[in-house]
Amino acid sequence: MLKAFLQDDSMRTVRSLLKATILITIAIAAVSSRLFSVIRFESIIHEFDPWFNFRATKYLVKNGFYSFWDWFDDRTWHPLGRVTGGTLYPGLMVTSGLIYHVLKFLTLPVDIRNICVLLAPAFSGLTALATYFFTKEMKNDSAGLLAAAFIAIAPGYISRSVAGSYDNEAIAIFLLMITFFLWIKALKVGSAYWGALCALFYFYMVAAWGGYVFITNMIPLHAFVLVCMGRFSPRLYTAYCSWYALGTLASMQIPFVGFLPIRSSEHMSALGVFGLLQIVAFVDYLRSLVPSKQFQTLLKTVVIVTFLLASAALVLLTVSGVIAPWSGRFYSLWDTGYAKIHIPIIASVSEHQPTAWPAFFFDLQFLVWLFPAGVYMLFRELRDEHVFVIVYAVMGSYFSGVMVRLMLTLTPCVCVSGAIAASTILENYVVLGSPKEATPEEKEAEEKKPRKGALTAEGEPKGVYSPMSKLIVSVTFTLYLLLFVTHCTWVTSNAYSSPSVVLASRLPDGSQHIIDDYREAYYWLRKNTPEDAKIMSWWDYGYQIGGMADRATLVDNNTWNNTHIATVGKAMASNEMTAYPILRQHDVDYILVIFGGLLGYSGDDINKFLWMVRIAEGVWPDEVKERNFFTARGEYKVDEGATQTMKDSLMYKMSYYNYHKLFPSGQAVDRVRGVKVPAVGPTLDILDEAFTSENWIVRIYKVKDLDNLGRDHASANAFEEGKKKKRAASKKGPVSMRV
Amino acid sequence: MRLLHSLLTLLPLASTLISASSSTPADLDPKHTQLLSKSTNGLIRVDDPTFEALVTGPRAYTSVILLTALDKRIGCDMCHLFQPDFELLAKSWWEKGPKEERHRLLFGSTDYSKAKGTFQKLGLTSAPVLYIFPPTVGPNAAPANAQPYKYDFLPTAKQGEHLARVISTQSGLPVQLHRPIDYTKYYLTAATILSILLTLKFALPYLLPVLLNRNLWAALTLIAIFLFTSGHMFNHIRKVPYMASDGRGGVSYIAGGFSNQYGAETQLVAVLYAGLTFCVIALGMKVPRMEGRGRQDVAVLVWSVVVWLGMGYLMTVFRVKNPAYPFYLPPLVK
Repeated sequence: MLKAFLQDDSMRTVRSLLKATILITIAIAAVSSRLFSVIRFESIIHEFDPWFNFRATKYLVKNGFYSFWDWFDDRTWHPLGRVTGGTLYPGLMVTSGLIYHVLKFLTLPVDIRNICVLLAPAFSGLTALATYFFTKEMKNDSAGLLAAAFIAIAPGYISRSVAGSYDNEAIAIFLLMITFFLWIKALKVGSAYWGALCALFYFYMVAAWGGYVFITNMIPLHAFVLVCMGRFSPRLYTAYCSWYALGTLASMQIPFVGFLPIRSSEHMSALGVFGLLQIVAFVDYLRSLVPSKQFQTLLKTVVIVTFLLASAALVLLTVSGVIAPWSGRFYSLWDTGYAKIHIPIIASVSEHQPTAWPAFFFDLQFLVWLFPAGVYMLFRELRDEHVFVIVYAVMGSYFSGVMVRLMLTLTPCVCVSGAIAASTILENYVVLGSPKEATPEEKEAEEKKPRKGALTAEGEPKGVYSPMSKLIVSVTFTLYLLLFVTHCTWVTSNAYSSPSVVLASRLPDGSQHIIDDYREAYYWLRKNTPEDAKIMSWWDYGYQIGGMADRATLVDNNTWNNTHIATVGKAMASNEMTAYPILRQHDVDYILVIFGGLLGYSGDDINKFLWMVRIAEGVWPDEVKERNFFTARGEYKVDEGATQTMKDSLMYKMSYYNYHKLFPSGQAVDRVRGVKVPAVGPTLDILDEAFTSENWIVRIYKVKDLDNLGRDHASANAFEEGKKKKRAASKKGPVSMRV
Repeated sequence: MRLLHSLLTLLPLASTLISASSSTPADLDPKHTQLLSKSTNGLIRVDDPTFEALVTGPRAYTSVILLTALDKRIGCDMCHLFQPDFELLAKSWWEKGPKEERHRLLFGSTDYSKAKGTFQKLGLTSAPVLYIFPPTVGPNAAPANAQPYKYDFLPTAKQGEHLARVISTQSGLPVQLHRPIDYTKYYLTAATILSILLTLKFALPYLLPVLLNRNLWAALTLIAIFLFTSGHMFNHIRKVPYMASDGRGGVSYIAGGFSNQYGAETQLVAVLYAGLTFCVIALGMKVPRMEGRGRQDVAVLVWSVVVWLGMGYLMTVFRVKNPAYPFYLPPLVK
């Protein structure tokens, strides 16, 4: 009965229905497990980059596609501005814009914000579908369904796709998987049709995420490995050439990418393999015509020599500067110490740090040991498409080990490979009926065969005999699967569902308390400052200020201009007299700093301060010195023992200005650093405190205008204070006169 | 017009000629030549009396003096790290610096063992220390009582280049570091490639079966995956210690904190992963191909128990890293 259901042709429709139901259920699970933050907080855009994407999307919806394409944004990078239309990946915004217009056309007016918030969960459902198709090509339907279920809830992917994290990765992982699936399909059937489809989705991926370079290198690497294994075939040739030719031309249509595909090192492997395939195909053709053995040796030499010459030419072109060398971001993946020395701005980002092992277990749980088993199982069969997953697994593990954020690219591969291992187990142990016991003669024949190592599995599997064994394995693995589900839910709900714009804390009675300082401050800016006010802050908050406060910023998370960021760093790290001209030159009206001392919020500016100093020092090594912010004993201190440079720096003053007044005299404590701050607080001459949020997380200062009498602010202030005293004295004078 | 142009180009040339002829090193400072005669490759070995001679009295040159402690017993790593670059810089200036400026800068190095008096006089308790003494007479003379510039050592490689920049800004002289090209490295690489090619040529018939062995590649792949997923790259980049003292006289193998780790624990985790993977492979591929009910039952039981305990232990270790983690497998509650 069961066998009939599983294999009989007459039941095919029922099986398809069942598969569809399972997939839909998986998609629902994928979406709903990403809604924690919407339910707990509200439908809000998270973190930093999403705020820019959201702002850009709003611009697109409001002004139309063409003006979006030509968008010059004068509200950021004041006074430089940013050619936003030409320096972003438009895929995400166009996708949401399209959805918005389609829904509107269907007379379903949905707010663009809700579309943006829910885009990532929706696309995660599609990712599950793409993963199903991909894995189906590797093994079979059941492995595909398992892989879809894994990717739907794996924390490594959820971390970048919860509701509200409206970032490029939200749609990019779906595009990654569908491109890979189409590539495998094209390779399998050797058709230009599938190759062209692959190129189409590759184009979409290029439009959506800078990580497209991963595909640009994975597919050539796969092709190259296949050629090295002697597995060149016309199928490979057709698939690769159609993908490369169409995909490259298409990708060059994105303004931000432009001519990079033929001019930068990241794309050279794809070009090189394209050339290699032409030579190999040519030789293959000749070989079929000329049978002579010597001739073939000659041809082989020709292939190798041409390949070497071509590589040498590439190197030469790179050295001479025609082809751009690896960009710092990618180069630092190979030379892991590079970024720390040369590009502090990349090294300063927390998601660019290397990954410690707990992060792997946290994001993948039991898949982390299940997936190597799947890789091994693929090695047994080793079809062309299996080579792809193997190469992907090795590269993906390496990259995720070097950089935390690349865990995202490893996760799909882990889910596919883990699903292959899990489905092999389940297929063997969750079946009714046992195989026939071998007859004594057969057993004897088996004994006579030479024994191999423990892992050499040869011949067709016979099956498992005892129901007890089946029960043990199926029950334990079901438990692991259940544990995985609870793990994923726990991780998602605890670690990945915080919008970081809104913070949650627990009151002593266990109820939730929402800390909403950021929005309070941004809203204050929006309502109380002139529309063209320029806000200076560290670059982390640039997008949020642009998105929530709608004010012009000096620097933002786009970080395209290191010098400009260093300028802000220098202003923050200098004393007031040095900082004031910088502020004036950049038309700064308000300065915004994040201070966590009162609440114990550790992601504040004082903790990020050293990076500001370092980045500024990179540009002005003579004026800003990191050494001066450390005490003689090499400690980074903010209390009484802080260095004079530290105490004089604008950042320190803005953070601790008036802070001591909150506490009884001499009792002021910084709860992040866990130290007592000086009893006498810093004074500010060039700034006025404009706003401090409820929990002191955001502090905003207004930059004073030039003094009316042309004095500098320090002497003006000193005069003001002196005058008050004098007034008090002069009041006494007349009184005594009268008596 | 053209004549004027050519005259203009000649002008700076002439002025340098004049200045070079009018002020020979000996004219500027007799001490200078005397000191330099004692130098090796442009670096003067300074002891207590020479130090006095170098920094006191009128002088028309900038002196860069490194006070270091190269004695092994003192154990100054930074001194040893910095010394080659400093010597190289002195040599670069000595050999490649512009001829007419060369006398305006000199490099001296002194060791603690040779110049204890100087160390005491300057009140130095740590090494290395580098001073740049500005000239007291001549066009670039510093104002009287000017303090020497104290150089801040960078904790990075390429100290020499940085120091060259600092000296240039301090003295206004075009100091540049010329690192000699290490030809031996190129020869070595070429020789290695050649020998590898030759070995390949002769050993290929024997190597080929090994290289084409699927199990070898599978093993390499799995080892790479275990290394990367157990945080090896983190160890490599952050240079974490293998283990550390726990502050109570013992050793701790597992670092506290979610984003921190020691070498030992990553090895433990890699072994755990490898063991668990091996069990899954055995259960999924080997057991169903086994003949005989009894043997199969034993194998299934053993591997299942190992997976259970291994996973339980892994979760226990993870709970050390993340105490808030609520899950565990029954026999291993901690």
